[in-house]
Amino acid sequence: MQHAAKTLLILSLLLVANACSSPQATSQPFASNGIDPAVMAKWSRSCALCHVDGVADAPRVGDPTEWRRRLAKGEDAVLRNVIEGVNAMPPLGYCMACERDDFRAMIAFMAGAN
Amino acid sequence: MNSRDLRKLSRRSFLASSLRTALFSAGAMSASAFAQPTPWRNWSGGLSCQPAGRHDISSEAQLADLLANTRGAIRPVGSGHSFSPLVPTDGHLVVIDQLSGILDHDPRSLQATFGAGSRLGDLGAPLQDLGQGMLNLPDIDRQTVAGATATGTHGTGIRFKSLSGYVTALRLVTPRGEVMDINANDGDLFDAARVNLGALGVVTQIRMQNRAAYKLKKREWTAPTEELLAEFDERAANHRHFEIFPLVYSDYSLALQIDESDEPIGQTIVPAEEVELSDLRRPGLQATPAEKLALNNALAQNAEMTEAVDLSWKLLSNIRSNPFNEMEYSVPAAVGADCVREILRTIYDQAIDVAFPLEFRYVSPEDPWLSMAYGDEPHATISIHRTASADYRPYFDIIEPIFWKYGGRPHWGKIHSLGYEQLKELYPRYRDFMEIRESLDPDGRLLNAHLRQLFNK
Repeated sequence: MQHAAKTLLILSLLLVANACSSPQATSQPFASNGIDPAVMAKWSRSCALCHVDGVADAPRVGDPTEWRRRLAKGEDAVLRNVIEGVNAMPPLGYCMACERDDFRAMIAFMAGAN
Repeated sequence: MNSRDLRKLSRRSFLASSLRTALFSAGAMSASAFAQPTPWRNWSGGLSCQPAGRHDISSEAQLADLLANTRGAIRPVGSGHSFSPLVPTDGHLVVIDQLSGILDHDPRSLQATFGAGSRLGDLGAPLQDLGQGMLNLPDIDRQTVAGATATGTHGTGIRFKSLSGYVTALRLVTPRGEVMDINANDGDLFDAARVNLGALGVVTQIRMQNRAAYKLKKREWTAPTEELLAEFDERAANHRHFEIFPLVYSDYSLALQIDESDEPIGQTIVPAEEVELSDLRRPGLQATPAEKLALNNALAQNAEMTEAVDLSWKLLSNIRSNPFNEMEYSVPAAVGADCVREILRTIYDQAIDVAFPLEFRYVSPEDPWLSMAYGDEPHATISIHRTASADYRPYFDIIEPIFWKYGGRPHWGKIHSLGYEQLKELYPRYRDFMEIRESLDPDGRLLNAHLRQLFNK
Protein backbone atom coordinates (compact mmCIF):
# COMPACT_ATOMS: atom_id res chain seq x y z
CA MET A 1 0.00 0.00 0.00
CA GLN A 2 2.83 2.31 0.81
CA HIS A 3 4.27 1.90 -2.67
CA ALA A 4 0.85 2.32 -4.21
CA ALA A 5 0.30 5.44 -2.22
CA LYS A 6 3.57 6.88 -3.34
CA THR A 7 2.76 5.91 -6.90
CA LEU A 8 -0.56 7.69 -6.71
CA LEU A 9 1.13 10.74 -5.37
CA ILE A 10 3.55 10.73 -8.25
CA LEU A 11 0.87 9.94 -10.80
CA SER A 12 -1.53 12.50 -9.54
CA LEU A 13 1.06 15.15 -9.07
CA LEU A 14 2.73 15.01 -12.39
CA LEU A 15 2.42 18.74 -12.32
CA VAL A 16 4.38 18.93 -9.12
CA ALA A 17 6.85 16.14 -8.77
CA ASN A 18 7.55 15.20 -12.34
CA ALA A 19 10.10 17.85 -12.89
CA CYS A 20 13.70 17.61 -13.79
CA SER A 21 16.36 19.64 -12.22
CA SER A 22 17.18 22.70 -14.20
CA PRO A 23 20.53 22.35 -15.92
CA GLN A 24 22.06 25.39 -17.48
CA ALA A 25 22.55 25.65 -21.17
CA THR A 26 26.23 25.14 -21.74
CA SER A 27 28.02 28.39 -22.39
CA GLN A 28 31.09 26.61 -23.73
CA PRO A 29 30.05 24.22 -26.47
CA PHE A 30 31.96 21.03 -27.02
CA ALA A 31 34.60 20.95 -29.69
CA SER A 32 32.53 21.25 -32.82
CA ASN A 33 34.76 19.16 -35.03
CA GLY A 34 33.94 21.02 -38.16
CA ILE A 35 30.30 21.81 -37.53
CA ASP A 36 29.21 25.28 -38.53
CA PRO A 37 29.74 27.48 -35.44
CA ALA A 38 26.29 28.98 -35.93
CA VAL A 39 24.76 25.51 -35.70
CA MET A 40 26.83 24.71 -32.63
CA ALA A 41 25.60 27.93 -31.04
CA LYS A 42 22.01 26.86 -31.67
CA TRP A 43 22.81 23.44 -30.25
CA SER A 44 24.26 25.02 -27.12
CA ARG A 45 21.07 27.02 -26.59
CA SER A 46 18.68 24.13 -27.12
CA CYS A 47 19.72 20.47 -27.41
CA ALA A 48 22.47 20.86 -24.83
CA LEU A 49 19.86 21.55 -22.16
CA CYS A 50 19.05 17.84 -22.00
CA HIS A 51 21.54 15.95 -24.16
CA VAL A 52 24.62 16.82 -22.09
CA ASP A 53 23.36 15.36 -18.82
CA GLY A 54 20.81 12.93 -20.22
CA VAL A 55 17.90 14.81 -18.69
CA ALA A 56 14.62 12.86 -18.96
CA ASP A 57 16.43 9.94 -20.62
CA ALA A 58 17.70 12.04 -23.50
CA PRO A 59 20.55 10.20 -25.29
CA ARG A 60 23.78 11.80 -24.16
CA VAL A 61 26.00 13.50 -26.63
CA GLY A 62 28.70 11.18 -27.89
CA ASP A 63 27.23 8.00 -26.42
CA PRO A 64 27.19 5.44 -29.26
CA THR A 65 25.05 2.89 -27.46
CA GLU A 66 22.25 5.31 -26.76
CA TRP A 67 22.38 6.84 -30.21
CA ARG A 68 22.58 3.49 -32.03
CA ARG A 69 19.17 2.58 -30.64
CA ARG A 70 17.62 5.87 -31.77
CA LEU A 71 19.22 5.87 -35.19
CA ALA A 72 18.17 2.30 -35.86
CA LYS A 73 14.70 3.61 -36.65
CA GLY A 74 16.07 5.44 -39.68
CA GLU A 75 17.12 8.97 -40.29
CA ASP A 76 13.79 10.21 -41.59
CA ALA A 77 12.15 8.94 -38.44
CA VAL A 78 14.75 10.57 -36.20
CA LEU A 79 14.28 13.90 -37.93
CA ARG A 80 10.53 13.54 -37.68
CA ASN A 81 10.91 12.86 -33.94
CA VAL A 82 12.91 16.04 -33.56
CA ILE A 83 10.43 18.17 -35.47
CA GLU A 84 7.31 16.66 -33.93
CA GLY A 85 8.75 15.83 -30.51
CA VAL A 86 9.14 12.43 -28.94
CA ASN A 87 8.94 11.22 -25.36
CA ALA A 88 10.11 14.09 -23.15
CA MET A 89 11.60 16.09 -26.03
CA PRO A 90 9.31 18.86 -27.23
CA PRO A 91 8.88 19.59 -30.93
CA LEU A 92 12.01 21.17 -32.38
CA GLY A 93 13.90 20.37 -29.19
CA TYR A 94 13.52 23.98 -28.07
CA CYS A 95 15.33 25.25 -31.16
CA MET A 96 12.84 27.65 -32.70
CA ALA A 97 15.45 28.90 -35.16
CA CYS A 98 16.54 25.51 -36.49
CA GLU A 99 15.98 24.24 -39.98
CA ARG A 100 16.20 20.57 -40.99
CA ASP A 101 19.84 20.86 -42.01
CA ASP A 102 20.64 22.27 -38.59
CA PHE A 103 18.97 19.31 -36.91
CA ARG A 104 20.79 16.89 -39.18
CA ALA A 105 24.14 18.39 -38.22
CA MET A 106 23.24 18.38 -34.55
CA ILE A 107 22.16 14.73 -34.62
CA ALA A 108 25.35 13.75 -36.39
CA PHE A 109 27.39 15.65 -33.82
CA MET A 110 25.63 14.12 -30.85
CA ALA A 111 25.82 10.64 -32.31
CA GLY A 112 29.55 10.98 -32.68
CA ALA A 113 29.60 11.18 -36.44
CA ASN A 114 31.57 14.41 -36.57
CA MET B 1 31.43 20.92 -17.52
CA ASN B 2 34.14 19.59 -15.24
CA SER B 3 37.16 17.48 -16.12
CA ARG B 4 35.45 14.24 -15.19
CA ASP B 5 32.60 15.03 -17.56
CA LEU B 6 35.09 15.84 -20.27
CA ARG B 7 36.85 12.50 -19.77
CA LYS B 8 33.52 10.71 -20.02
CA LEU B 9 32.70 12.61 -23.14
CA SER B 10 36.05 11.81 -24.68
CA ARG B 11 35.55 8.13 -23.97
CA ARG B 12 32.10 8.18 -25.47
CA SER B 13 33.40 10.06 -28.47
CA PHE B 14 36.06 7.42 -28.97
CA LEU B 15 33.55 4.61 -28.76
CA ALA B 16 31.31 6.46 -31.13
CA SER B 17 33.88 6.35 -33.87
CA SER B 18 32.77 2.85 -34.80
CA LEU B 19 29.36 4.17 -35.70
CA ARG B 20 30.40 7.02 -37.89
CA THR B 21 30.57 5.48 -41.29
CA ALA B 22 27.55 3.26 -40.85
CA LEU B 23 25.22 5.86 -39.45
CA PHE B 24 26.10 9.05 -41.21
CA SER B 25 27.98 8.30 -44.34
CA ALA B 26 27.87 11.02 -46.92
CA GLY B 27 24.50 11.24 -48.55
CA ALA B 28 22.98 8.80 -46.13
CA MET B 29 20.15 11.13 -45.24
CA SER B 30 17.34 10.53 -47.65
CA ALA B 31 16.21 13.32 -49.87
CA SER B 32 12.67 13.07 -48.55
CA ALA B 33 13.71 14.22 -45.11
CA PHE B 34 14.91 17.54 -46.46
CA ALA B 35 12.52 18.13 -49.28
CA GLN B 36 9.96 19.94 -47.13
CA PRO B 37 10.43 23.22 -45.30
CA THR B 38 10.74 22.99 -41.55
CA PRO B 39 7.48 23.68 -39.72
CA TRP B 40 7.18 25.42 -36.37
CA ARG B 41 5.44 23.63 -33.52
CA ASN B 42 4.71 24.63 -29.96
CA TRP B 43 5.85 22.70 -26.87
CA SER B 44 2.74 20.54 -26.60
CA GLY B 45 2.72 19.84 -30.35
CA GLY B 46 -0.85 21.06 -30.66
CA LEU B 47 0.00 24.11 -32.75
CA SER B 48 2.00 24.30 -35.93
CA CYS B 49 2.64 26.62 -38.83
CA GLN B 50 4.84 27.00 -41.86
CA PRO B 51 6.55 30.37 -41.62
CA ALA B 52 7.79 31.92 -44.83
CA GLY B 53 10.99 32.88 -43.05
CA ARG B 54 12.79 32.13 -39.82
CA HIS B 55 14.96 34.91 -38.49
CA ASP B 56 17.53 34.04 -35.84
CA ILE B 57 18.07 37.54 -34.49
CA SER B 58 21.52 38.34 -33.12
CA SER B 59 21.21 42.08 -32.45
CA GLU B 60 18.68 44.85 -32.02
CA ALA B 61 20.05 46.48 -35.12
CA GLN B 62 19.38 43.36 -37.16
CA LEU B 63 15.88 43.18 -35.75
CA ALA B 64 15.15 46.84 -36.44
CA ASP B 65 16.41 46.42 -39.98
CA LEU B 66 14.26 43.33 -40.49
CA LEU B 67 11.14 45.07 -39.23
CA ALA B 68 11.75 48.26 -41.18
CA ASN B 69 12.71 46.67 -44.47
CA THR B 70 10.47 43.65 -44.86
CA ARG B 71 6.84 43.31 -45.70
CA GLY B 72 4.24 40.90 -44.48
CA ALA B 73 3.24 39.38 -41.18
CA ILE B 74 5.67 39.04 -38.30
CA ARG B 75 5.36 37.02 -35.13
CA PRO B 76 7.95 36.77 -32.37
CA VAL B 77 8.44 33.44 -30.64
CA GLY B 78 9.96 32.63 -27.27
CA SER B 79 10.34 28.99 -26.36
CA GLY B 80 6.97 27.89 -27.74
CA HIS B 81 5.31 27.18 -24.41
CA SER B 82 2.05 28.96 -25.16
CA PHE B 83 -0.87 26.63 -25.75
CA SER B 84 -2.92 29.38 -27.36
CA PRO B 85 -2.12 30.20 -31.00
CA LEU B 86 -0.21 33.42 -30.35
CA VAL B 87 2.71 32.40 -32.56
CA PRO B 88 1.48 30.60 -35.71
CA THR B 89 2.15 32.64 -38.83
CA ASP B 90 2.81 32.12 -42.49
CA GLY B 91 4.96 35.25 -42.43
CA HIS B 92 8.22 36.01 -40.68
CA LEU B 93 8.96 34.10 -37.48
CA VAL B 94 11.32 36.13 -35.30
CA VAL B 95 13.46 34.10 -32.90
CA ILE B 96 15.21 36.03 -30.14
CA ASP B 97 17.15 33.21 -28.45
CA GLN B 98 20.42 35.03 -29.03
CA LEU B 99 19.22 38.14 -27.20
CA SER B 100 19.83 36.53 -23.85
CA GLY B 101 21.76 36.74 -20.63
CA ILE B 102 22.13 39.29 -17.86
CA LEU B 103 23.00 42.58 -19.54
CA ASP B 104 23.48 44.64 -16.41
CA HIS B 105 22.56 44.70 -12.75
CA ASP B 106 22.40 47.07 -9.81
CA PRO B 107 23.33 45.68 -6.40
CA ARG B 108 21.65 48.60 -4.63
CA SER B 109 18.23 48.47 -6.24
CA LEU B 110 18.53 44.69 -6.80
CA GLN B 111 17.37 45.09 -10.36
CA ALA B 112 18.80 43.38 -13.41
CA THR B 113 18.31 43.72 -17.14
CA PHE B 114 17.88 40.54 -19.15
CA GLY B 115 18.05 39.82 -22.83
CA ALA B 116 14.40 39.16 -23.59
CA GLY B 117 15.18 35.79 -25.14
CA SER B 118 16.69 34.50 -21.89
CA ARG B 119 15.08 31.36 -20.60
CA LEU B 120 14.05 31.72 -16.98
CA GLY B 121 15.88 28.57 -15.99
CA ASP B 122 19.13 29.94 -17.37
CA LEU B 123 19.00 33.07 -15.23
CA GLY B 124 18.82 31.52 -11.78
CA ALA B 125 22.48 30.56 -11.35
CA PRO B 126 24.07 33.72 -12.78
CA LEU B 127 21.66 35.89 -10.81
CA GLN B 128 22.58 33.91 -7.69
CA ASP B 129 26.23 34.68 -8.40
CA LEU B 130 25.31 38.37 -8.42
CA GLY B 131 23.53 38.02 -5.09
CA GLN B 132 20.05 38.34 -6.59
CA GLY B 133 17.04 36.11 -6.96
CA MET B 134 13.82 36.67 -8.87
CA LEU B 135 10.92 37.40 -6.55
CA ASN B 136 8.77 34.64 -7.95
CA LEU B 137 8.77 32.26 -10.89
CA PRO B 138 6.18 30.41 -12.94
CA ASP B 139 6.06 26.64 -13.02
CA ILE B 140 7.91 26.04 -16.28
CA ASP B 141 11.45 27.39 -16.42
CA ARG B 142 12.04 26.93 -20.15
CA GLN B 143 9.92 29.96 -20.96
CA THR B 144 11.68 33.08 -22.15
CA VAL B 145 11.42 36.30 -20.18
CA ALA B 146 9.78 37.91 -23.21
CA GLY B 147 7.23 35.16 -23.67
CA ALA B 148 6.37 34.82 -20.00
CA THR B 149 5.84 38.55 -19.50
CA ALA B 150 4.03 39.04 -22.81
CA THR B 151 1.41 36.54 -21.67
CA GLY B 152 1.11 37.65 -18.04
CA THR B 153 2.56 34.39 -16.79
CA HIS B 154 2.60 34.15 -13.01
CA GLY B 155 3.69 32.03 -10.10
CA THR B 156 1.94 31.39 -6.81
CA GLY B 157 1.32 33.69 -3.87
CA ILE B 158 -1.23 36.23 -2.79
CA ARG B 159 1.57 38.71 -2.13
CA PHE B 160 3.23 38.12 -5.50
CA LYS B 161 2.50 39.68 -8.85
CA SER B 162 2.99 38.03 -12.19
CA LEU B 163 6.44 38.32 -13.76
CA SER B 164 5.07 41.30 -15.70
CA GLY B 165 4.34 43.05 -12.41
CA TYR B 166 8.06 43.08 -11.61
CA VAL B 167 9.13 44.56 -14.95
CA THR B 168 10.59 48.01 -14.31
CA ALA B 169 11.62 48.78 -17.89
CA LEU B 170 11.72 47.18 -21.30
CA ARG B 171 12.99 47.87 -24.79
CA LEU B 172 10.61 47.44 -27.68
CA VAL B 173 11.39 47.42 -31.39
CA THR B 174 8.23 48.51 -33.15
CA PRO B 175 6.98 47.16 -36.48
CA ARG B 176 8.43 50.31 -38.09
CA GLY B 177 11.85 49.41 -36.72
CA GLU B 178 11.89 52.12 -34.07
CA VAL B 179 13.59 51.29 -30.77
CA MET B 180 11.65 52.43 -27.70
CA ASP B 181 12.83 52.32 -24.09
CA ILE B 182 9.75 52.14 -21.91
CA ASN B 183 9.47 52.49 -18.13
CA ALA B 184 7.04 53.69 -15.48
CA ASN B 185 7.50 57.28 -16.60
CA ASP B 186 5.70 56.33 -19.80
CA GLY B 187 2.47 55.72 -17.91
CA ASP B 188 -0.14 54.04 -20.09
CA LEU B 189 2.40 52.73 -22.57
CA PHE B 190 4.25 51.00 -19.73
CA ASP B 191 1.09 49.39 -18.40
CA ALA B 192 0.19 48.22 -21.89
CA ALA B 193 3.64 46.93 -22.77
CA ARG B 194 4.23 44.76 -19.71
CA VAL B 195 1.62 42.24 -20.91
CA ASN B 196 1.71 42.79 -24.64
CA LEU B 197 0.88 39.46 -26.35
CA GLY B 198 3.71 40.19 -28.76
CA ALA B 199 1.31 42.62 -30.41
CA LEU B 200 3.12 45.93 -29.85
CA GLY B 201 6.51 45.05 -31.27
CA VAL B 202 9.38 42.73 -30.44
CA VAL B 203 10.79 43.11 -26.92
CA THR B 204 14.57 42.80 -26.78
CA GLN B 205 15.45 43.72 -23.18
CA ILE B 206 13.56 43.51 -19.91
CA ARG B 207 14.62 44.98 -16.57
CA MET B 208 13.13 43.37 -13.49
CA GLN B 209 12.94 44.05 -9.80
CA ASN B 210 14.60 41.20 -7.91
CA ARG B 211 15.61 40.67 -4.29
CA ALA B 212 18.60 39.32 -2.41
CA ALA B 213 19.33 35.69 -3.25
CA TYR B 214 17.47 33.30 -0.98
CA LYS B 215 16.62 29.71 -0.18
CA LEU B 216 13.21 28.13 0.17
CA LYS B 217 11.74 25.14 1.93
CA LYS B 218 8.98 23.24 0.19
CA ARG B 219 6.46 20.95 1.87
CA GLU B 220 4.05 18.73 -0.04
CA TRP B 221 1.31 16.63 1.49
CA THR B 222 -2.16 15.35 0.78
CA ALA B 223 -5.26 16.30 2.74
CA PRO B 224 -9.01 16.48 2.16
CA THR B 225 -9.79 19.13 -0.43
CA GLU B 226 -12.54 20.71 1.68
CA GLU B 227 -10.17 20.99 4.62
CA LEU B 228 -7.56 22.69 2.45
CA LEU B 229 -10.07 25.03 0.87
CA ALA B 230 -11.35 26.03 4.32
CA GLU B 231 -7.86 26.98 5.49
CA PHE B 232 -6.65 28.27 2.11
CA ASP B 233 -6.88 31.99 2.88
CA GLU B 234 -5.11 31.61 6.20
CA ARG B 235 -2.29 29.54 4.73
CA ALA B 236 -1.99 31.86 1.73
CA ALA B 237 -1.64 34.80 4.11
CA ASN B 238 0.82 33.13 6.47
CA HIS B 239 3.15 31.40 4.03
CA ARG B 240 5.20 32.76 1.17
CA HIS B 241 3.53 30.42 -1.30
CA PHE B 242 0.58 28.12 -0.86
CA GLU B 243 -1.38 26.27 -3.51
CA ILE B 244 -3.28 23.05 -3.94
CA PHE B 245 -3.66 20.51 -6.71
CA PRO B 246 -7.17 19.09 -6.29
CA LEU B 247 -7.18 15.48 -7.43
CA VAL B 248 -9.98 14.55 -9.80
CA TYR B 249 -12.21 11.66 -8.73
CA SER B 250 -11.01 12.18 -5.18
CA ASP B 251 -11.86 14.06 -2.02
CA TYR B 252 -8.17 14.89 -1.62
CA SER B 253 -5.71 17.44 -2.89
CA LEU B 254 -1.98 17.80 -2.86
CA ALA B 255 -0.94 20.86 -0.87
CA LEU B 256 2.25 22.73 -1.68
CA GLN B 257 3.59 25.24 0.81
CA ILE B 258 6.84 27.14 0.43
CA ASP B 259 8.62 29.48 2.85
CA GLU B 260 12.01 31.07 3.11
CA SER B 261 14.54 28.94 4.90
CA ASP B 262 18.10 29.01 6.21
CA GLU B 263 18.23 25.23 6.55
CA PRO B 264 20.85 23.23 4.62
CA ILE B 265 19.94 22.29 1.07
CA GLY B 266 18.48 18.81 0.94
CA GLN B 267 15.43 16.65 0.70
CA THR B 268 13.98 14.72 3.61
CA ILE B 269 12.02 12.24 1.56
CA VAL B 270 13.03 11.44 -1.98
CA PRO B 271 9.97 11.03 -4.19
CA ALA B 272 9.52 7.74 -6.00
CA GLU B 273 11.01 7.47 -9.43
CA GLU B 274 9.13 9.14 -12.21
CA VAL B 275 6.17 7.13 -13.46
CA GLU B 276 5.23 7.19 -17.11
CA LEU B 277 2.13 9.09 -17.96
CA SER B 278 0.82 6.02 -19.74
CA ASP B 279 0.43 4.42 -16.32
CA LEU B 280 -2.54 6.66 -15.84
CA ARG B 281 -4.33 4.41 -18.27
CA ARG B 282 -4.00 1.40 -16.05
CA PRO B 283 -7.17 -0.68 -16.03
CA GLY B 284 -7.73 0.13 -12.39
CA LEU B 285 -8.09 3.79 -13.23
CA GLN B 286 -10.63 3.17 -15.98
CA ALA B 287 -13.28 2.26 -13.48
CA THR B 288 -16.56 4.02 -12.79
CA PRO B 289 -16.38 7.44 -11.11
CA ALA B 290 -17.37 5.90 -7.78
CA GLU B 291 -14.71 3.20 -8.07
CA LYS B 292 -12.08 5.79 -8.98
CA LEU B 293 -13.11 7.91 -6.02
CA ALA B 294 -12.72 5.04 -3.57
CA LEU B 295 -9.36 4.00 -5.00
CA ASN B 296 -7.92 7.50 -5.20
CA ASN B 297 -9.07 8.38 -1.71
CA ALA B 298 -7.47 5.27 -0.28
CA LEU B 299 -4.21 5.97 -2.05
CA ALA B 300 -4.19 9.66 -1.17
CA GLN B 301 -4.71 8.90 2.50
CA ASN B 302 -1.47 6.95 2.53
CA ALA B 303 0.66 9.36 0.55
CA GLU B 304 3.80 10.60 2.25
CA MET B 305 4.74 14.16 2.99
CA THR B 306 7.87 15.39 1.28
CA GLU B 307 10.10 18.30 2.17
CA ALA B 308 12.96 19.90 0.33
CA VAL B 309 15.23 22.91 0.85
CA ASP B 310 16.97 24.50 -2.10
CA LEU B 311 17.89 27.72 -3.83
CA SER B 312 14.78 29.71 -4.71
CA TRP B 313 15.06 29.34 -8.47
CA LYS B 314 15.46 25.58 -8.19
CA LEU B 315 12.34 25.12 -6.08
CA LEU B 316 9.99 27.57 -7.76
CA SER B 317 10.33 26.48 -11.36
CA ASN B 318 10.76 23.23 -13.23
CA ILE B 319 11.37 21.54 -16.54
CA ARG B 320 8.29 19.54 -17.50
CA SER B 321 8.94 16.33 -19.36
CA ASN B 322 5.36 15.19 -19.95
CA PRO B 323 3.76 17.48 -22.53
CA PHE B 324 0.21 18.60 -21.92
CA ASN B 325 -2.29 21.23 -22.97
CA GLU B 326 -3.72 23.60 -20.43
CA MET B 327 -6.57 26.03 -19.85
CA GLU B 328 -6.27 28.56 -17.05
CA TYR B 329 -8.61 31.29 -15.92
CA SER B 330 -8.44 33.74 -13.05
CA VAL B 331 -11.52 34.45 -10.99
CA PRO B 332 -11.93 36.76 -8.00
CA ALA B 333 -10.31 35.03 -5.02
CA ALA B 334 -13.55 35.22 -3.08
CA VAL B 335 -15.25 32.77 -5.47
CA GLY B 336 -12.23 30.64 -6.33
CA ALA B 337 -13.07 27.77 -4.00
CA ASP B 338 -16.63 27.57 -5.33
CA CYS B 339 -15.31 27.46 -8.89
CA VAL B 340 -12.96 24.60 -8.02
CA ARG B 341 -15.78 22.69 -6.36
CA GLU B 342 -18.01 23.07 -9.40
CA ILE B 343 -15.28 21.86 -11.75
CA LEU B 344 -14.54 18.81 -9.63
CA ARG B 345 -18.22 18.02 -9.36
CA THR B 346 -18.72 18.40 -13.11
CA ILE B 347 -15.82 16.06 -13.90
CA TYR B 348 -17.32 13.45 -11.60
CA ASP B 349 -20.93 13.85 -12.69
CA GLN B 350 -20.09 13.76 -16.39
CA ALA B 351 -17.46 11.03 -15.96
CA ILE B 352 -14.93 13.07 -17.92
CA ASP B 353 -11.93 10.96 -18.83
CA VAL B 354 -9.14 12.90 -17.15
CA ALA B 355 -6.49 12.09 -14.56
CA PHE B 356 -4.52 15.31 -14.29
CA PRO B 357 -5.25 17.26 -11.11
CA LEU B 358 -6.44 20.85 -11.17
CA GLU B 359 -4.19 23.63 -9.92
CA PHE B 360 -5.56 26.33 -7.60
CA ARG B 361 -3.53 29.34 -6.43
CA TYR B 362 -3.72 33.04 -5.66
CA VAL B 363 -1.98 35.97 -7.31
CA SER B 364 -1.67 39.57 -6.18
CA PRO B 365 -3.56 42.44 -7.83
CA GLU B 366 -1.39 44.37 -10.29
CA ASP B 367 -1.32 47.17 -12.85
CA PRO B 368 -0.47 45.79 -16.31
CA TRP B 369 -3.67 46.28 -18.28
CA LEU B 370 -3.93 42.79 -19.71
CA SER B 371 -2.86 40.95 -16.56
CA MET B 372 -5.38 38.35 -15.50
CA ALA B 373 -4.96 39.84 -11.99
CA TYR B 374 -5.47 43.45 -13.12
CA GLY B 375 -7.34 45.58 -10.61
CA ASP B 376 -7.59 46.00 -6.86
CA GLU B 377 -8.54 42.54 -5.65
CA PRO B 378 -6.53 39.30 -5.47
CA HIS B 379 -7.42 36.65 -7.97
CA ALA B 380 -7.49 32.91 -7.79
CA THR B 381 -6.17 31.11 -10.84
CA ILE B 382 -7.46 27.67 -11.72
CA SER B 383 -5.88 25.39 -14.30
CA ILE B 384 -7.06 22.25 -16.00
CA HIS B 385 -4.75 20.03 -18.03
CA ARG B 386 -4.91 17.23 -20.52
CA THR B 387 -2.03 15.11 -21.72
CA ALA B 388 -0.86 16.31 -25.13
CA SER B 389 -1.56 12.97 -26.77
CA ALA B 390 -5.29 13.25 -26.03
CA ASP B 391 -7.86 15.62 -27.52
CA TYR B 392 -8.35 18.33 -24.91
CA ARG B 393 -11.44 19.85 -26.51
CA PRO B 394 -14.21 17.65 -25.06
CA TYR B 395 -12.92 18.26 -21.52
CA PHE B 396 -12.07 21.93 -21.91
CA ASP B 397 -15.34 22.68 -23.75
CA ILE B 398 -17.32 21.40 -20.76
CA ILE B 399 -15.27 23.22 -18.14
CA GLU B 400 -14.69 26.60 -19.81
CA PRO B 401 -18.28 27.88 -19.26
CA ILE B 402 -17.80 27.29 -15.54
CA PHE B 403 -14.93 29.77 -15.57
CA TRP B 404 -17.14 32.28 -17.40
CA LYS B 405 -19.85 31.86 -14.78
CA TYR B 406 -17.40 33.07 -12.12
CA GLY B 407 -16.19 36.03 -14.16
CA GLY B 408 -13.05 34.30 -15.35
CA ARG B 409 -10.31 35.99 -17.34
CA PRO B 410 -8.22 33.70 -19.54
CA HIS B 411 -4.47 33.28 -19.35
CA TRP B 412 -3.22 34.60 -22.69
CA GLY B 413 -0.78 31.78 -23.23
CA LYS B 414 -3.27 29.02 -22.50
CA ILE B 415 -6.22 27.63 -24.34
CA HIS B 416 -9.45 29.63 -24.35
CA SER B 417 -12.18 30.41 -26.84
CA LEU B 418 -12.93 34.04 -26.04
CA GLY B 419 -12.92 36.85 -28.58
CA TYR B 420 -13.12 40.61 -28.59
CA GLU B 421 -16.73 40.93 -27.42
CA GLN B 422 -16.10 39.00 -24.20
CA LEU B 423 -12.58 40.23 -23.54
CA LYS B 424 -13.44 43.93 -23.67
CA GLU B 425 -15.83 43.31 -20.79
CA LEU B 426 -13.34 41.33 -18.72
CA TYR B 427 -10.37 43.68 -19.00
CA PRO B 428 -11.28 47.29 -18.10
CA ARG B 429 -8.41 48.76 -20.17
CA TYR B 430 -8.79 46.43 -23.14
CA ARG B 431 -9.82 49.11 -25.62
CA ASP B 432 -7.04 51.37 -24.36
CA PHE B 433 -4.59 48.57 -25.12
CA MET B 434 -6.06 48.25 -28.60
CA GLU B 435 -5.56 51.97 -29.24
CA ILE B 436 -1.90 51.73 -28.30
CA ARG B 437 -1.52 48.61 -30.42
CA GLU B 438 -3.00 50.38 -33.43
CA SER B 439 -0.72 53.38 -32.93
CA LEU B 440 2.38 51.17 -32.91
CA ASP B 441 1.27 48.71 -35.57
CA PRO B 442 -1.25 50.51 -37.79
CA ASP B 443 -0.80 47.97 -40.59
CA GLY B 444 -1.40 45.00 -38.31
CA ARG B 445 1.86 43.29 -39.22
CA LEU B 446 2.03 41.64 -35.81
CA LEU B 447 -1.47 40.19 -36.02
CA ASN B 448 -2.14 36.57 -36.79
CA ALA B 449 -5.52 34.88 -37.00
CA HIS B 450 -5.75 34.43 -33.22
CA LEU B 451 -4.86 38.03 -32.44
CA ARG B 452 -7.33 39.28 -35.04
CA GLN B 453 -10.01 37.37 -33.15
CA LEU B 454 -8.90 38.91 -29.86
CA PHE B 455 -8.83 42.43 -31.27
CA ASN B 456 -11.75 42.22 -33.70
CA LYS B 457 -9.49 43.13 -36.62
